[in-house]
Amino acid sequence: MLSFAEEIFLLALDDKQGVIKPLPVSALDYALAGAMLMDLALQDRIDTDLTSLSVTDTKPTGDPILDDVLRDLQQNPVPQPTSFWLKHFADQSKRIQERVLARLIQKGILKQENRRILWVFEVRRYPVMDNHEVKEVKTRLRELILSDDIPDSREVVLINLGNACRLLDDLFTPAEYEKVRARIVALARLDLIGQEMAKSIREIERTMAIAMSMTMMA
Amino acid sequence: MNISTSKIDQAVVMELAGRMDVIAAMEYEKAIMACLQRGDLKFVVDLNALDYVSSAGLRSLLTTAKKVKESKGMVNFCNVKGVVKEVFAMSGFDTILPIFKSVKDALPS
Repeated sequence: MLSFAEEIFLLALDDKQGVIKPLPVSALDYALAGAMLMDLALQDRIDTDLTSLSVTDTKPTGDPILDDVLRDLQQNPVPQPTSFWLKHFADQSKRIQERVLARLIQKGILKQENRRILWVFEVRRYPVMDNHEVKEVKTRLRELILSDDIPDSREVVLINLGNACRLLDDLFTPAEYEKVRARIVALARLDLIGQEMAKSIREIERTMAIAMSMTMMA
Repeated sequence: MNISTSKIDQAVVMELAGRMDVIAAMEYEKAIMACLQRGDLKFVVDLNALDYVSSAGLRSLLTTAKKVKESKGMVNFCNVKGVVKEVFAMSGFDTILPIFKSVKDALPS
């Protein structure tokens, strides 16, 4: 099974171009941070409520990326809000992205290609080798959203991550998306860590929009 | 968290009291699964005395509701109050799960 960080990375990847799709500012940074925390939550290593996040089990998960996060969470003796940890790990996003990519390459899902465009910029591309995982998650999410089924915890997390990065509209025609938008919002709200993550992304977007409008007015 | 179980007609009425954290969430899942294995398919979960629910608790409520539904059963929740009501509203659980005012209202007809 793929980790949430790997799943969101694959959802964010343009299958044909092998590069990350254009996403809202800092969305992938916070989505990866949220994905790791949600993976730890589903493995009963951490728990959260409306005020704080706490480590409930220090036993390693066996996943080196998650275990580093779990160790980091134990360094702070005072319980902190989920938003604190989201920012903490979002700030390390570059390193986390590299590790997630390396794992997807190691698993044979992606391959790395170096290409030159116009002989100036070297662009690293990651074409999808095994498309099965991507198709499976997209089909599963589409079917769940179109139904009135109760989601399982993994599905809630994936909808939350996909919605925060605005990646779910790709799964539907524009007419379908209009119809299912309310259901997506309802499903995405079901996870408390995911809610905090989406809030952080929205706040950054708002700040950026204000900064841009002030620059344009100056 | 304390879980007490009784039966009204065909429905298992489960009263949850105290704090529903990660450990309690596992106990609740086990209790529901044990009932399902015995062949019980109708559940009323009374949250009157539940005064805290964490994200692990929310997940277990969702997971078990899905399992019961997949077994062609039903689970209704009732007496949601205080902080738990606040968390339900904030997370939108009150739009996904069937919630009633009282045990009587939640019993299947």
